[in-house]
Amino acid sequence: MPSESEGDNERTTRRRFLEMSTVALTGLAGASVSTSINHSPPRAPSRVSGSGGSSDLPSLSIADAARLISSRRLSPVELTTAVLARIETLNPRVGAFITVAGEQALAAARTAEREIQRGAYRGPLHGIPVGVKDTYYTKGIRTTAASPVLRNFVPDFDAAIVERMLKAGAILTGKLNLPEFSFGGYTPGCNNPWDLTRNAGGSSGGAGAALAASLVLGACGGDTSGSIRNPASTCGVVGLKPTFGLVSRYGVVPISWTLDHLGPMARTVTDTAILLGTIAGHDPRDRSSARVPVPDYRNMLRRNVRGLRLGVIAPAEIDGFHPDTRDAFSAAVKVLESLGAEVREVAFPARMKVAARCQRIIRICEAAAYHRQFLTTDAVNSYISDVGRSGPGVSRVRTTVEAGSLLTAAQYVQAQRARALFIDDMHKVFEPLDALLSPTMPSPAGVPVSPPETFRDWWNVCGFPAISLPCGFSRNPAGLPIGLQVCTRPFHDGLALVVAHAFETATDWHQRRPPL
Amino acid sequence: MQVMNRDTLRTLAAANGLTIPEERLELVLREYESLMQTLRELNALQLPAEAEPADTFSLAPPPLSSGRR
Repeated sequence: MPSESEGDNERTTRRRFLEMSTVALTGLAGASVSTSINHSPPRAPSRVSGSGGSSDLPSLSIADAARLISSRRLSPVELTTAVLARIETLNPRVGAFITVAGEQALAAARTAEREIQRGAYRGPLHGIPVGVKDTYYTKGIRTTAASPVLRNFVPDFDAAIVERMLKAGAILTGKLNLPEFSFGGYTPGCNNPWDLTRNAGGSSGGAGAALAASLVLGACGGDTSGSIRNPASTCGVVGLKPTFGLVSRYGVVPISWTLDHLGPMARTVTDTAILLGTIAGHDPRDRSSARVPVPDYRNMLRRNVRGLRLGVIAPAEIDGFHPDTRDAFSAAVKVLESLGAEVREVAFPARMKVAARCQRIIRICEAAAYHRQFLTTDAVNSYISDVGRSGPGVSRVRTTVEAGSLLTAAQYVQAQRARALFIDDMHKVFEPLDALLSPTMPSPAGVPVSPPETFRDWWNVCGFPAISLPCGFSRNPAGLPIGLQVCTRPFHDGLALVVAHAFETATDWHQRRPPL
Repeated sequence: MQVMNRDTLRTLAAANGLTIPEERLELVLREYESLMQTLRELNALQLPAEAEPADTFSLAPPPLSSGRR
């Protein structure tokens, strides 16, 4: 509790911050308009929502908010207050948060405000409200992994990513929804802001929904089979699965140690680059952490795509995908081609499609090893039950890890040998390419299709980076986001961001907001 | 190729230190059979004898000592 004089100072400071904010926002509205190329994929009605909060502050990009905060035209307290108000209004309908840390967030925002006031600006995340998936350890804030098994778990330390974000001055507003222990691409209770009768996807569904609904400005999720890119595509935001080893996994409830990737999600590619630059880097506490330099990802975005060799997944490979998805993907490829990229079709060797199935064996065996601590104690009775239940929202964690516990060590090793083959083949696929494009998801949210491959968990098997960004909206059903996936060689995460940024700059899909 | 049934599954689980309740056996059995099918597909790859697993580890050399003896 500040003293009376401190309180007066705070109010004065905030007033000074706030006096400029309306002017600043008016200026930004014009500045954010980008040149658009219309290649006629279907479009959703353009609408900026404002009914969920007292202002449009929560809809700001990180980059725009940082510009205002660093120049003291926007107070972190005002921004955080607006975000928390919007969470209070909309979260009951969206279900993006499991835990809202409102008091801690406001306290951190006041600290950030004081620091900035005295000239100690830390960088583009300083004073920015963010959220993390509820698998990330957060000191003093419960971390449930959406499971009754961990309902009372309050970590006494922060995950490496949380440490880095807090050190950068980010304001943690809370913990984001997911399916039990991150198993699956459907987040129960988390509704898609573009159509609240549909799911937000998963497993980082809370992050996708929170960003689309402007309940956070940035987020971090986890991706073992596509769990960052799935909700990013489904909710119409950006999500990056970085190269394996680039971002520390320390302090996060795992599914599978050799397949799990943690990464940033945001509403723009620039914001994603800002977040990646903050969380990437060697961490000796993560045995897989790579000793590689972390480039200035944001600065790299100045590069264009002229002359880049882009592989495009052959039409036959995505035969079973939804027609609106295929149309939006074709249009996206044309945009990049018009920007000077060289485009060539890519089909994968048949044995890669078989070898990729190692993902399931590796994932479930490693998950079984982690879950043994629960399976062999009374905690086993706390899993969400799937007995007599079916459907996409039913957790099958216990069944999956019980069955996985019965596989042999030799079977696990065989899967890892198949994985090595797959990785070698993927390097060969990339020999003539700088990046590879595909649709992120086979269909818009909740539309049933059954393609033989989705080309999403492949990037977890090989560890190459993959980003999803909005590339259109569906016609039937109308108005659901569609995502473009851009994959590059290991540690060429910056190049994936470059391609994504070039596309984003040439289009306006990322500027749409759901009609909440 | 059905080689596992509820009884053998229960026994295998017990040998691995797990107790699977009666009402869960059928669910776990179906999942196990599905995993075995995936493994059969993987086995069709006929991996070359020299193929190593992807998670083979490597070690970094220790830092050079800067002190004098």
